[in-house]
Amino acid sequence: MSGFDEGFERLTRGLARRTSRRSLLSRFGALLVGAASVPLLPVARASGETPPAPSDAPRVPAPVEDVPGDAGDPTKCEYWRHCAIDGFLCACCGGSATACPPGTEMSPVTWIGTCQNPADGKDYVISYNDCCGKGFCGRCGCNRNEGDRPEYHWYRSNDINWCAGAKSQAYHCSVALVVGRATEAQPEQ
Amino acid sequence: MRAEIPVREAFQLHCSGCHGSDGRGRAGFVPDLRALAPLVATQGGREYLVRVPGVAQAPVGSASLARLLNYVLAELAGVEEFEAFRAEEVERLRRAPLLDPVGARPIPRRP
Repeated sequence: MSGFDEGFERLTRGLARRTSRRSLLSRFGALLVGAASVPLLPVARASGETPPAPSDAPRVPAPVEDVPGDAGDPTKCEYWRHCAIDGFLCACCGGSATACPPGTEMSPVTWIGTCQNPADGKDYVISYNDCCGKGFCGRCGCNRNEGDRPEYHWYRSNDINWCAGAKSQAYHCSVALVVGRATEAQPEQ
Repeated sequence: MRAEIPVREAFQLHCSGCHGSDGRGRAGFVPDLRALAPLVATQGGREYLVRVPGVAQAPVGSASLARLLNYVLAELAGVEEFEAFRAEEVERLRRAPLLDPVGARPIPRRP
């Protein structure tokens, strides 16, 4: 037997004495889990986000900021702006009642309804924009449907995936933007 | 009879969800209302504007619909001179909605 073979045999026998198969499996398992978790690190996720949209980007509604007594908990389905929503509340998904969570895009097309603000008893026009680009948020599902219309009346229907107008059609959650005062609730009724 | 809601509010409720608050639409997906000037300049274009399903089937009366069309043309498309739509004309045209809106387009689609 050559010197090389003897040396290699000593090495492998020594390794076999010092380590167990269980040890090898645990280290290999740790390597697998470690490799799988790399994409979950914040740095990796940030690099996966879409870059800021150019100036030609589709506009989203300009929300009305000075809504009197605009208090309440936007993570609750009962929040007044949610009177006609059907989806997951973005305030529970890393965003807010007016902003999409990081890494998602606000749909440029949407459906419009009205809700009454209990603080002043007045009606407001609400734009229910979907946030798109990630899978279902799954938290704070809310389905109230005041003024909701069948899907053949598409622009007053909340059953449509409005992410159809966004870059990604994956629906994540919905925001409720106040875009104006409404003279009365649901004027076509 | 109930009072009319302001035309700006009617636009928000019935049009802006898809066309946006400024009428810009979404390239390749929702038409840009700011580019309607050539359309309203011809009779066929005027008829198209009322007979296209989103307009003809909007859940508003014909007087309100005429007011909405005039608002879009004057305020969003910036058309300075055009014959304003009247309720009677809108009422007559919307009773014949286009069955093939794309095929009926009087001006070619932009590539």
